[in-house]
Amino acid sequence: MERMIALARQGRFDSEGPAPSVRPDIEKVYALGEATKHDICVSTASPRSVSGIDRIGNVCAGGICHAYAHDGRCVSMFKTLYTNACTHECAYCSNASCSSGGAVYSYTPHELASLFMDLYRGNYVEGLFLSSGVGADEYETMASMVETAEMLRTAYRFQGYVHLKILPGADRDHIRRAMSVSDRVSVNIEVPSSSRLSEICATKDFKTDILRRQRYIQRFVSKEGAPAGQTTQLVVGGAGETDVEIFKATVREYHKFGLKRVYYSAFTPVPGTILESQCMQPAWREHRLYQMDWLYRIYHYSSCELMSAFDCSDHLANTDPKRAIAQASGLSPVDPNIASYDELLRVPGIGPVSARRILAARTRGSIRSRKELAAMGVVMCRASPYLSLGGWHDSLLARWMA
Amino acid sequence: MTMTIPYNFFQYLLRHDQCTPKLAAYARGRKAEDIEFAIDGRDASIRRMVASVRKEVHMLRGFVRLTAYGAYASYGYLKPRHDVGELVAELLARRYPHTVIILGNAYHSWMCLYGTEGVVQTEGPALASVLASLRDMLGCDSSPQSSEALWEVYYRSQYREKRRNLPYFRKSMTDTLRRSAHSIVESNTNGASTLDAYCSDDD
Ligand code: SF4
Repeated sequence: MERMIALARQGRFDSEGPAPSVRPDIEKVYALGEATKHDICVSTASPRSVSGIDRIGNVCAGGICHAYAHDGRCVSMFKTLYTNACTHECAYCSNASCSSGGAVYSYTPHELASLFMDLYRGNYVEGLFLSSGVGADEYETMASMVETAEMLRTAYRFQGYVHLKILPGADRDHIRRAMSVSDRVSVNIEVPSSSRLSEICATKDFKTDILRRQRYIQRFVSKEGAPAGQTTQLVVGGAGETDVEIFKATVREYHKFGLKRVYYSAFTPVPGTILESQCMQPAWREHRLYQMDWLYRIYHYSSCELMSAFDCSDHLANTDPKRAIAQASGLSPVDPNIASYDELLRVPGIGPVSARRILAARTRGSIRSRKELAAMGVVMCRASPYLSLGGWHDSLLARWMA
Repeated sequence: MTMTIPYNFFQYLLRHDQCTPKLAAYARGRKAEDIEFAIDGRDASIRRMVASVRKEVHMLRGFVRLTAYGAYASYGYLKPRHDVGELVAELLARRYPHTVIILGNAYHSWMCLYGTEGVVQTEGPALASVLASLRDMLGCDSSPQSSEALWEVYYRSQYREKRRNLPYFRKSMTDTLRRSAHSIVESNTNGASTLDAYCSDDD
């Protein structure tokens, strides 16, 4: 132990960063933290590699979760607003100038960086997620957010995860600087289209304030940093949008702007906002959209294939969309001994891992029983009606009842 | 083809609390591919055991909390189910270079430093006795500094009462894992969700 302490003393950097700021104001920490609780992105996975001993912190390729909240969500980052003051008028947001919100708080870059480092050194969080209201104007606020991240990277030698929100209408140069110090950046589109935005916010322009910023980020992504790419988030049901509208916007985001992920947050009315009396959207709606997103990104279903999951009112039902698509398309039973990887993936109850295990098992001999499939991770109660093994398969009725 | 079982799976298996010498001898002759694509009972159970050890390392490296003890050391509580203390300590040491990471419980401790000489590791007695020696070594001017109070405020700010889902919370942050990392703040599920409720909890 003595030797370890001596070694630690020897190697220590000259400076540990600026002196800690004054004791944190807990009401401010609470208020600015709470204002981000509907921001869903909690991933801290980054492909950046960190080495050397002249720094503090690192990143993990798969991301790390440091706690779970009692609503079941992962708490991995210090998610906070820089300020909850905002001149925009989003009808669902408690920070909006048209809402009868509470006290207005704001950090300084030094205060926020120091507070964050206290939590990081205690291993409470994996990184910083910094969002904000636009304050008096987006130029000043975005500059302060970038300054905070730059201070972390230089004065504190912090090499852990940083996710910066790009404010609507942010300056191009600020975006470039933000990306050079972040792992991930995002602009929340919130709604699927310009017409939906005009229903809930009269002060933001969908094309110039949001889509154009996403285009800048896309151009900078390969050159300037943000190795974990850009993401966005949609509020589900705030402006009366259908699931088809949301899904089409999702596909557009992936194709046009090369996004890494699209997140969904079911609309929850916030007291004091214009939409406070509107109905809360069920959590399952958000969940079903994530399943559709998963089928699109990971299982590589085409968008045409996925359209059969929607009902005639352009909404998803509260059932597994993969099974709904299999039923709607009349998927006939596949033989796991001859089916391709893509065909296996379309069987409910078979995922990428079990599909790969089936392919590997086939190289050693044929699969003869359902028990073998179950041992490979296939969820037989769901998959059985869509599998044909040794010429035997369930009836059509069983497929419909599955 | 992406594998879920690492090529050094044997190292993880040895750390499982139910790994017998007989199973270890059997596993020594198996390849990662045999385990990954196993449909046979014994290989499939090795797969589950390796996954359980890796999962514990992954979860605990996030759930363990550190308290700074002077400028050169940080300590935290850890009582893992499998023999993973050394692995968790090393992961944390690599995250915080030049800081001696001390993890432990009433029986055992693991210490690790990542610095100019690479990774230096050792094991020791109960955490309390290691901290007592540390106090003697550093002198009484070094007092522990924890950010637990700040964390509690922030953690509560992230809770969405309308989406309360304790079963899901307990599935992700199991009782066993919370006990292993001594997660006090997260274990208090009494439902205080506002700053006022939180402050009145303290009364
Ligand atoms: S721009 Fe953001 S912070 Fe401002 S009112 Fe709209 S959602 Fe709220």
